[in-house]
Amino acid sequence: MREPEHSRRLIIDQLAPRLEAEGYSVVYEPPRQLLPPFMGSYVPDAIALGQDKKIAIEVIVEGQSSEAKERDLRRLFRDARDWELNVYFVRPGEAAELSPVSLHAIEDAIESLESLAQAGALAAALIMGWGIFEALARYLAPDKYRKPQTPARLVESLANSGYVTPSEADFLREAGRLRNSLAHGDLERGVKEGDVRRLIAVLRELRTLAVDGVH
Amino acid sequence: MEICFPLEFIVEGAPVSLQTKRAASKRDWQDRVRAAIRFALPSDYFASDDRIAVTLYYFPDSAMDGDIDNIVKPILDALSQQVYLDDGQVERVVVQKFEPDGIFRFAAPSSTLEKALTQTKPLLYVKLSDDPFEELA
Repeated sequence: MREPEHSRRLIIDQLAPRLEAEGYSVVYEPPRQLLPPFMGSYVPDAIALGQDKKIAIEVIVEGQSSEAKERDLRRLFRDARDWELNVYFVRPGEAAELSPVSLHAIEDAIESLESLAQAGALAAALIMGWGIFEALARYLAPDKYRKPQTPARLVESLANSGYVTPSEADFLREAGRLRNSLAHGDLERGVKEGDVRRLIAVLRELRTLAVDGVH
Repeated sequence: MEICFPLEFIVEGAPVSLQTKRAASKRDWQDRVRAAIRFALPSDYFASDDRIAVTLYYFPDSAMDGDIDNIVKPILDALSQQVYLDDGQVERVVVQKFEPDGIFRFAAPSSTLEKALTQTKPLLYVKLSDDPFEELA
């Protein structure tokens, strides 16, 4: 889940150009000396200062005690003459940020993948293998891969940075397309044992980089 | 036999950054570049001692992750002693990426560039010229 502060900032970033075009000066997290006494201890997320009107901008992120907060703020601004309160409600997106898993968890998953391949569950192995691939990428470069990655983007990125060789990248692009087909219901696409074996070999290479501390 | 410039060729795959995480990735990529050059050159040629201009157009299959300038050095190193004798002969480098969803207009693409535009991505289009001032006139 996106952090509330980040969500607030995004909203104000979107509002600011419009307000500035209307002649307002937008101040993020305004200092106390720009706020009128009636606001007391309340500090808006941003203010927009115009010639005739001043706007206090409050971004309320879902999950906070939003109703009570809004009610209190409306009361605070009820008698304000030059000031207007604009409240924006945000539902943070579900684009989860993912933390790296431990190398131990990755190694366990590779073992499970081997078992799946040996049992002939090749489609399941490919899907799982792709999950391990992304987990390894996130382990190697946690900041870069905080968000879930599309297969194409993941391969492009790892190939550019040299984590995978161009030959491995060629194979991974094909494997990624196959993974997409399966994940989206094209269950009749055959998965070859050789593809799963090659994917495991790539995962083992990446695991070696992770063990060697290549970041 | 002297090389007849401009020399154009396509290298399939994603270029490896100068700051590669694995030496094997750089070797693999430079082998690809050299293989693509050999395909574009006659078998009995001499490496040029002229001034050289290099154009690199990268067409990724999704948004490129690293900085475009990071792909230059490994490619120039791969070209050295293949097309030209020494890196110092390179007087001009143009490098550009063309990411998906962009709209690009190429007024009069050569047949090789046209092939690059229509072929499966990712790929790198390379043009080598012996006229570093070709676009200054």
